[in-house]
This record gives sequence, structure tokens and C-alpha cells, in this order.
Amino acid sequence: MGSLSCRHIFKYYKGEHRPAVKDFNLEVSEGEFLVLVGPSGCGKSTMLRMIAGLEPISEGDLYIGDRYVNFVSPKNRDISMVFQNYALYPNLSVYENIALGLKLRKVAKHEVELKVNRTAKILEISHLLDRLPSQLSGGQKQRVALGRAIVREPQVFLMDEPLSNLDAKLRAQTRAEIMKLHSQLKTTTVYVTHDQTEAMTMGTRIVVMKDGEVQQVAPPQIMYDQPCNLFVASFIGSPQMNLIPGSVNRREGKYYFETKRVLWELPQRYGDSLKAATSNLRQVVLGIRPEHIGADREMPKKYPCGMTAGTIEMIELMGSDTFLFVNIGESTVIVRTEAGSPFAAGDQIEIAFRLDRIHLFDAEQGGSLTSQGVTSL
Amino acid sequence: MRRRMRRLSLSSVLLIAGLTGLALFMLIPIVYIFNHAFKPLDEMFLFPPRILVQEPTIVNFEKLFFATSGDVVPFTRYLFNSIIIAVITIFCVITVSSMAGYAIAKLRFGLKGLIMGLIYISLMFAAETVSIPRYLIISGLGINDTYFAHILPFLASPVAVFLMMAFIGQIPNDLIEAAKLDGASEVAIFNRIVMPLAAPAVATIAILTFQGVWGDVEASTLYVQDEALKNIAYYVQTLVSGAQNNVAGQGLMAAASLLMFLPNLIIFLVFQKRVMQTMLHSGVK
Ligand SMILES: Nc1ncnc2c1ncn2[C@@H]1O[C@H](COP(=O)(O)OP(=O)(O)OP(=O)(O)O)[C@@H](O)[C@H]1O
Ligand SMILES: [Mg+2]
Repeated sequence: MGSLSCRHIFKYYKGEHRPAVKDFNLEVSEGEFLVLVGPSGCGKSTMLRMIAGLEPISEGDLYIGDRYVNFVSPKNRDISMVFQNYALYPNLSVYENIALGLKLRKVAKHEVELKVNRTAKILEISHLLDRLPSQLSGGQKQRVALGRAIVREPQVFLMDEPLSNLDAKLRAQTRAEIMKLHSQLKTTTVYVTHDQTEAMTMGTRIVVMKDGEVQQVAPPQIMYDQPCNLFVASFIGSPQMNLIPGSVNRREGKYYFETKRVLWELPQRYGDSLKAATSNLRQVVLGIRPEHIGADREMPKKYPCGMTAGTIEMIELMGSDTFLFVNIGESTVIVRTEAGSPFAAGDQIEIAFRLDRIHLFDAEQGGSLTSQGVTSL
Repeated sequence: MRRRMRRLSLSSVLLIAGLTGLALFMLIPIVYIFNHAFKPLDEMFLFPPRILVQEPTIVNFEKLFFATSGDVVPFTRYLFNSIIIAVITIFCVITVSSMAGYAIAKLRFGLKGLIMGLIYISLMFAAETVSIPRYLIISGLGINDTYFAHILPFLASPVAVFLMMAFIGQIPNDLIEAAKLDGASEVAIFNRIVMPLAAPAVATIAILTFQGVWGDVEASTLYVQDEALKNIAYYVQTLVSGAQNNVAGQGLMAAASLLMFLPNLIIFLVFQKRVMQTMLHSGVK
């Protein structure tokens, strides 16, 4: 019913020879909350608008449910969309805004009333029904926009950065509400954002896009743990994954990661994937998340670690955590420590890199050498 | 109160004073028209002339409405013609220009660039230059002695289309797309979303069109021969030219001028606020 199937979809805008969306190929199953995420201009909105029918599809096939909808007009696709700036009809009251979609579909009047009131109740906007959009706060407008989308009970919801006009606190709150709504309604949702936090917290699956191309499709945790390339690795996660350029060398059956400053023996388990990928010496980028670098002395006892010394350049207090910006010569890495750690800027410290949690990327192509089992599509 | 006064700087005091003076000066002709129409004949020729009427009378209007009914065509017939023509023209211009404006501003279709170019070019023509082509079209269509001869030249108003285009262009695309997803047809989008939002522009166009068509003598002079189908502007003009050396005609003229002017004033006062909005929004001044 509410599934969505995109088969090799391309979008060429008129006059542009580079596609805005390139070979987008994805099955979304019923009830999924799929998040499209990527930097500005990567084609997220374009993809969403093609699903909505607002933008013609240049190439490829789109199915909603079992229906081929490439040439079906937006109103007949049984979808609804929430826009970034709400797009409420300024001349109509909140009630009329929510009801218009039903009225235009010739739903009986008492039923319209029933549905609008029920929707308003779910979203807690019953007391606002008589107001005009100009008399609402940003958060309230957002709810009305959501109400307009859910009242029709469509097969698929499309949302294009619906939270980006809200302030931080309201954004977190509304995010939670959308999640709650989704768990109640279980409607298939495609949600566009450029905010990786939103993507991580909301999506049952995430699609990372760049320059119109899908980079990786995976559930949030897998996306975080096994990014398929450098772009995904640096895009997902906050603060960013630390990236250290260096080379991998093989000596006597063992693999070593080497820069001017360090020489670390890599755990045996990387051997297989590296063997397939490398000749004797290879330029790579080592990626490691801030939580996998430690400043305490216990860490090397528990895990295989690579050690190096550095100088603390800056300390960022986040309340729950403290981030140390440590200069290790050729680059600066971010180290996550517990709050209240006894460090000060300028300190010389010894830090440990958990070698069992590193990622290695091909320096030229950007592809991952360590998470090769992961499907990129 | 005192605080507010003190906050005004010297320059803004001067500006306000200057603008007030200018406004009063602009008001003089209006005051004059009103007073003149109610003056008895002897007051009209007082020397030195006075602006304000001393002993107001409606004798001028009586003469205008009743005395002329002995002529071939009574004054009221001209008035009637003008009103009918104005109403139909305004309605048609609004319909045509808003639809055209919407299509050009928001729809995708071929030859859009060409059509816009033509509209821009036609904005540049002075009305006089197109009288002859208009005459050819009207007589070609065989509508010489009908109301349509008055209406047709105003119908394709590039200014109105341009205003509508600019104004509707400001309506966010998201709104229109949201309506599409809500299940609205183009007609429903136009009626329910676009037109209510374009109301200020519609008001502006109503005023501009009214002024044009109410004061138009071209159609009555060139395209319409039947005296019974000519409009009030034409009638007043003939009064004026006929009364230049005619003392008795002055009263009629004054009353007719006021009647010509009054609807303009009323319409403007009613729609003034909306017009300001349109001019601000469309960047047209
Ligand atoms: N109507 C259009 N005509 C031509 N090019 C367009 C059009 N709309 C978008 N593009 C281009 O297509 C690419 C993708 O745009 P899109 O709006 O999908 O990006 P996005 O991922 O939604 O970005 P953002 O996060 O800024 O909203 C961009 O390079 C953009 O310049
Ligand atoms: Mg976008």
C-alpha cells in the first residue's frame, strides 16, 4: 500500500547538462521514515518534488504503492507535503487551511468537520481554528502545516526541511512530536533535511546524497559505525569524525598505519579487507570518532591502541561532555572526554587511538577500505 | 505628547510642513470644482474670482439633467452609457489581466518569453499611435456602433497585465504547489488562492481602468457615430468646446465637470489603501 519505489531516477533541469539527481534507486517499504540528507544543493528537494509530482521526472520510474505514477498529477498521487515555510493559505483560517484538501475532494461536510477537529486535537491546535495564519507563531504554523498534511490520510508524507524555520528548542520539541505522530499513524514518510542530527534521530533509514548522487543508504547506527566513504564519514556525526592522512604499509604479513609522527600496527581483522584492496603501500585517510580517542591511561589496557602525544589547543565544554582539540603535529583531532576532566589549554598530553574502531579510506577515491561488507545502496 | 513632539527633528518638521503645504495646494482644484458647480451664473463671472461659493444653488444640475432633455440625446443617456461601459470594461479587464498575469507569472508554457516581450513593448506605445490600427480592427469586426467599440480598446491593457504579473509573481510558489497537492485544479487555485491574494492589484486595476474608460473620448469621437452610444466624457467635451463663447453654458459645464470628476474621487478614496500596497509590492510607481 504505502510503499514507494524509485527506479533509476534522473533529473536534468532545462539548460543544465549535469543532472540534479543521478540514478536515484531506492525501495521504501510501508511505514518507513526515510530521511534524505546532504549538503545544500545536493538534490534532496528536487528528488522530493519529483515524488510529489511537482517536477517532471527526466528518466526512471516511480511507483507509489503498486501504481506507476510518473505521469500522474500531484493531486492524484495520494501524497501530502509539508513545506519549509509552511505554505499556509494566508487568506484562509486555520480551519479552512486544514479543510481545503478535503473540500476540494468533495468529502461530505460533516465528515470534513469531524476530520479537521480530530486532527486539530491530535496536534493540539483546536483553540486556533478560527485564526488566520498571520496570527500564529512559527511553531503553531508548523503544526497547522502538519495538520493539513495528515488530515487527508495519504499513502505517503513528504516533508522538505519542515523544522528549519524554528528555533533550536522548538525544533527539538517538534522533532519529537513528528516522531510520535509517525509512530501513531505509521504513514510512510520521506523527510528532507540538511541537518545530520535530525537525520540520525528521526530516520529509520538515512539516505546521504551529494551532488545528486546517493552515497549510502543505511539505518542511522550503521551509517554512523560503517560509513562507506569519506564524505559520509565526515557528514554524519557531530563533532565530525577525525581524519588523519597517512599510508598503510605491509611488512611481514602485518599492516601498519604510518604518518610522519606515528607508526601503528593495525589489528589483524583489517588484514583481509586491506589485502584485497592494497598493494604494498597505499595512501589512505584514517578516520576515528572523537569518542574513540581517549586521554585516560586506562584505555590502552582495555583496547588495542595507538599512542601519540599532542598539545591541547582548545577546550569545548558541552555540559555532558568535554571536547579537547589536540594538535598532534600534522593535524588537530577532537577528543571526547567526560565532563570535568582535569585539562587546560596548552597542556601536553598523551592520547590513545582505539585501533579496533578506526576507519580507513582510500585517499584518492574516498571509498572505505574497512567497511566493505556494507552495501552502499 | 510632549515627548513625541520633542523627538521630531527639525528636518522632519520642515518636511511635514512642506508636504502639508503641497497637499493643500493640490487640493485647490478639487475644492474649486466642487464650489464652481454650485455657483449661480453671476458668481461665476465675479472679478476677482472667488474659489468658495457664496450662495450655493443646484440650478446648474437641474439644467444639465432636464433642460438638455429637449435635445436629441438626453444627458442621462450619456451617463448611462458611461456607467454601463465602465462596469463591463472593468470586469473584463480584471478577468483578462488577472488570468494572463497568473499564466505568465506562474505557469510553464512555450512562447512565454515572446509574449512577455510583446507586453513590454506594448507598454511603450502612446495611446494616440494606435488609434488607426484600433479603428481598422473595430470596423473590421463590424462593431462600430456598439458598446464593444468602447470596451475593446481597453481590454488588452498591458499595464494591467504587467501589474498583475508582478503582483502574482510575489505569491510564493509553495502556496500554489500546496494547493495542487491539496487537489486544486488550476481554476480552483486561481479562484481560491491567487485572486484573494491579488485583491490589492485588482483594486488598482479597477481604478486605473475606470479612470481611463470614464475619461475616454477616443471611442466616441472615432469609432462610434451613433450619438445615443457616446459617453459622458465626449458630451462634456462638446459642451466645453461649444460653450467657450457662451455665457449660459458655463453653469452646465461646471456641473458636468463635477459629475465627471466625482466617481474618480470616490473610487480612489475607497481603494486608496490597497493601491498603495500594490505599488509597493510590484515595484511599479
Ligand atoms: N528550477 C531549477 N532550474 C535549474 N536548476 C535547479 C532548479 N532547482 C534546483 N536546481 C539545481 O539543482 C540542484 C539541486 O537543487 P535542490 O533544490 O534539489 O537542492 P537541495 O538539496 O534541496 O538543497 P537545499 O538544502 O539548499 O534545499 C542545485 O544545484 C540547484 O541549483
Ligand atoms: Mg531544498
